[in-house]
Amino acid sequence: MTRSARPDNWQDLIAGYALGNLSPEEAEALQQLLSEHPELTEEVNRLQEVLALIPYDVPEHDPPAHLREAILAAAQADEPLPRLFDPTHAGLRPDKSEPPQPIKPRPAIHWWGLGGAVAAAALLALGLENQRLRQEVETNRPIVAALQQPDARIYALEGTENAVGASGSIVITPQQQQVLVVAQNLPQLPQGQAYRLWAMPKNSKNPAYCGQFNTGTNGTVSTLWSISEARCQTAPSQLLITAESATAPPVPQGELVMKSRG
Amino acid sequence: MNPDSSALRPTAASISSESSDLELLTALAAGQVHALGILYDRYAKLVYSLAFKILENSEEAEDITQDVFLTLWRRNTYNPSRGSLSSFLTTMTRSRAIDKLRSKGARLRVIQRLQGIVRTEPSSTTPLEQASVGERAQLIRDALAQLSETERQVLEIAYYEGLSQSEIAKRLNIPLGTVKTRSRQGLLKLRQTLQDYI
Repeated sequence: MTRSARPDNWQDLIAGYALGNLSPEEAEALQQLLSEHPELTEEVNRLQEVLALIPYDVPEHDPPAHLREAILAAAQADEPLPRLFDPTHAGLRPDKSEPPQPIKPRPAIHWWGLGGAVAAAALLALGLENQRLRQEVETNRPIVAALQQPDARIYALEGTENAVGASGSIVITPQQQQVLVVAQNLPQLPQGQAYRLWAMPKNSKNPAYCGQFNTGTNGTVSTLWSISEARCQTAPSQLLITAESATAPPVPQGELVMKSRG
Repeated sequence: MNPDSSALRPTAASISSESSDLELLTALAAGQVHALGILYDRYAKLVYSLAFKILENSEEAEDITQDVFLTLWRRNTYNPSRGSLSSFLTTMTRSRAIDKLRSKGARLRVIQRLQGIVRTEPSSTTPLEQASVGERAQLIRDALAQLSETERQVLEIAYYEGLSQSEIAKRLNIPLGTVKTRSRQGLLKLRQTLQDYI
């Protein structure tokens, strides 16, 4: 297979991609370009870095002096996280007599007012191995913290005919702008491919790209990342996972592998 | 069984205002508030100034700054293989400030413009990351100064106001194609000027 030469406008396409102003035809051309020249992904990254430097030029304003103290005090005051998976605490809270909080039925399960034990139970229900989690929870501070967010929203996933045995869940925390994906029995993808997460906004047929991930060698994934795309956070009507080229433009083209229930 | 892990943590004495971003982030992940203080001293002015530029309101800029640094502290989701810490912070600041602008119903309705893709390739530390914040600012200013006024205008409106290409075209009363061409040329020119640093 011979690689075609780069088209004359390859820089233009990449710049348009970084700026988010490609036409559909250009997006297609870029996808073709990146599939033939995956090394250009690095150039896209550089353009992203260049864009992120623009604010160095803004007129400088010193933040008020009290702000530093306020932030450091808030950081200092953060309570250490409870050890969710410590067997001496799991399931029983001997010295606290708080009544259990009622669970209100909702289309997507909100964890308002529910403590870490529920988060733990949900995680275990996902079929993740308890032992491994117990060891990892100490180092997975961000994941545990995401699960504890009052606005965390959980979506159960089911595999499509392309991944019959796959199961898992997604947690979205709009306030912290994070998404957590845990799943198992996903097919391992060929080199250069990745799973991509898409949100179907309410009242729209255009899926929003929310990020990509890959599985471990055993077909499981447990990963957390930040999302800035608003449509991924504001109560999407459905979440979809497809298998795509890892360097393709953010337009779903691959097979649907998992989707949220309901 | 919970061995005291403090032995694994860098001691407070091992970080200083001279430490690299990565060293400070390691200390941050180990729960050292001191590291957050140093990162704040390094980047708070940039974050606050950017938020202020977008929101034109000092209280809201304070809120965003607090939000950004506490997110860095609590979530620690920055991944060095995806770009520099500086870029992570400015991207988060811009995104949250523009969200806030939108939630105020001020003048915006269009979703993200400059957020492109999730980065997939690890990148090594660039010369720019090794430069001080002040040196970086000087480099960027010099680079921006080489753009034409019209290229710069289009890039800045897109960056700070989050307007779509067609909204920019309407605002400046120029054809849509011109908006695209100018913004792309401007970005590529910046890239060219900064090629030794990125």
